[in-house]
Amino acid sequence: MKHQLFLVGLFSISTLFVSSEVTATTGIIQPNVEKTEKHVRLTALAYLENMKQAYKELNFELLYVNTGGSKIEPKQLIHGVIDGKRIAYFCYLNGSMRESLQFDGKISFYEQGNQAYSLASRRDQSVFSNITSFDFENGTQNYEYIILGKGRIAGKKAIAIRMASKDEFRYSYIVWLDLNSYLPLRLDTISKANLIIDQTMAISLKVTDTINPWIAQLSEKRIPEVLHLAKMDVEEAAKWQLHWIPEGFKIVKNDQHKLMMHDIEPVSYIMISDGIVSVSIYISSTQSSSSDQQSIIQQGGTLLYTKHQEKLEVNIIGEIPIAAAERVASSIRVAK
Amino acid sequence: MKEYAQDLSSLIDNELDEETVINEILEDAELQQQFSRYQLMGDVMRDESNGFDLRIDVTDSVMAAIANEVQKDNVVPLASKVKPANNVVPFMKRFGQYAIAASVAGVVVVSSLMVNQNSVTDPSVTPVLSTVPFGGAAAPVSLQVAPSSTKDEIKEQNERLEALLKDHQLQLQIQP
Amino acid sequence: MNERELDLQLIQRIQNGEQQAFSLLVRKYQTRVANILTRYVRSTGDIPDVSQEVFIKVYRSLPNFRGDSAFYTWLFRITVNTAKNYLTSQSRRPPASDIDADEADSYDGSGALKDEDNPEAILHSQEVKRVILDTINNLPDELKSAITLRELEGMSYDEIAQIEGCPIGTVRSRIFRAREAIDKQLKPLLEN
Repeated sequence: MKHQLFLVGLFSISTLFVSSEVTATTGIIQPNVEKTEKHVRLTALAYLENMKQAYKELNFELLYVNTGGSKIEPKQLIHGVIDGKRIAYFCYLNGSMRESLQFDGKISFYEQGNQAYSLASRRDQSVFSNITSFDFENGTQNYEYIILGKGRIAGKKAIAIRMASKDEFRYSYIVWLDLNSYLPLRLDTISKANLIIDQTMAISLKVTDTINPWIAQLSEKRIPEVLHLAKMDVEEAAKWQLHWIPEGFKIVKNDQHKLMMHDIEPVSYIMISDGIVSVSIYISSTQSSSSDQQSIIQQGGTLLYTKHQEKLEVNIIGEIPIAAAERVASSIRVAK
Repeated sequence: MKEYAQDLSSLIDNELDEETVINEILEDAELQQQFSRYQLMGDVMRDESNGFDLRIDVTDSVMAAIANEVQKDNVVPLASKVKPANNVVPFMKRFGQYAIAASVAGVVVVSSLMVNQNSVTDPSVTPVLSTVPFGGAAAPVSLQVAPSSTKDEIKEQNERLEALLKDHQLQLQIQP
Repeated sequence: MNERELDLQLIQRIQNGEQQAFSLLVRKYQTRVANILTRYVRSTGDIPDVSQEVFIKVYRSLPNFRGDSAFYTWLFRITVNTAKNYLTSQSRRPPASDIDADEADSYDGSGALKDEDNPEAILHSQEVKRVILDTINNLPDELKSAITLRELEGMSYDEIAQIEGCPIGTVRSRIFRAREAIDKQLKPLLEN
């Protein structure tokens, strides 16, 4: 079966190549584009690396939907590069205006009826940012990359690559990318039971040689003032330690802060990330003495895991399987 | 001051027959502040207070600017008085839209799905509720609640989870 | 015609030379004026200046106010004109279409990419709104209903009394008690 798929793959790659020469692909660095042999023999890893580069360097406009949450919301992303700096405009297409603009280390949010504000944010926040920021080469320790075959997404010829998780502590993914531009077109999050639990899919993709003039203009606008979030005293921080996190994850944040517009009580906060997913771990004291109670909410790929133990409430939020959350939660100890 | 407060309230609503309370207000800074706050409540209820700093008060600067301009005496008397236009929002649907402010764009809203389970001996049997990811007609599969939880407890817990989820979204935005 | 119409009482005082009465008109309408201005003025930092300009114009034009339209409608027109002049002076185009006074209440300005906002003010304003709305939500039903019918439905005490089946005096006191309860929470917030 696999063998058959591969043959089909080869066939359509060669036909595709003919057409891609006619339409003269743009922008993206494609060192081997002239050499048919190389092009055909791109490995899954090479495709993924090309995708990563394309997503960062091309000017494009993407319309997409995400079907992980409780409703489908069409969204728009306009991405461009100005003097080597990326700019990304995001907008919900239905309902009230909700827009954001990320440029030059800041992201600004504009929402109908609310005052706009900015946050300092160096990390790409756009739709496919996680899958295009991943260190695929080191990622081979935890994922296997397999070319699945070809299909058509948003009117484009696309190739599907499976990132198969090697353990039960992370989800698997299927990435579809445009064979012409290498831009990502679809991302499925796959559970251990092989179900698609979350899907982001392009409906339309337009790649242009030059940046969309409107977002180029936006880059010159003054943005709302940057909002800085209050940090708690450092001596209070790092009261808790994680004795286990899934392989490939790192602790990227460890602090104490208050929740926006909620309790006055600070929470201890740890964020772990493997480059694709970032998981928040909240630890707070609670009055309820109920021990060993846990609750689980899953919406699409997002897990909200809550565990009560010894007047402690642990909440874990992120796109990880329950098994990972459970093991992280039970590894929490008071820091020495 | 207290004694005028109810009159102040009626005055604002055009429901006061005697004008003397206006004199009182004009002489009492505290009553003037109260007058402003009473107006603000209505403006907030009608959702007419968006996109600017509510603390800004231009009264003093306006009064200073017009201090030297006395209105001429030969004014045209008020001709006819008509029923005031209704400055009121048609319906109160907008109510509560600020229930939780400071939203981060793209926040996932949790529905009221909750499962409590007592002491998990076998983790594999932990029930999981998930929304249907496809088709857009996602609905809660079912709602199970530990018998000990009251409605209020669930509500409180959900509010906390929503706050955590928003914080999570926020932390993702400012992630190093 | 309503003899008790506050706006007209104040205007009459102003026209009789009692300038101080104008301060109450400013207090009464400045939030609504600022709210209208957010649709035109792209930078919220400019709103106090433009608001001030609006009220100065209103004061100067008061002799021409003939009372054949509601004061608010008249004020609305001046506000929109001032905003447009402001935009011209900033050589910026006004938003897509002009707004009529009648539509004023239903029009929802888009939050599209404004510049310059103050985060501390955002948080504070949101807190103010939250406190007001939360307090109302937690009021006893009869108080909540009275203040809502008054502020959101614009009913007179008489109309509310008929709906609620109680004397006008009770309506008066319920609305006052509702405001008093909100004020108790609101006052400390605005004083800091």
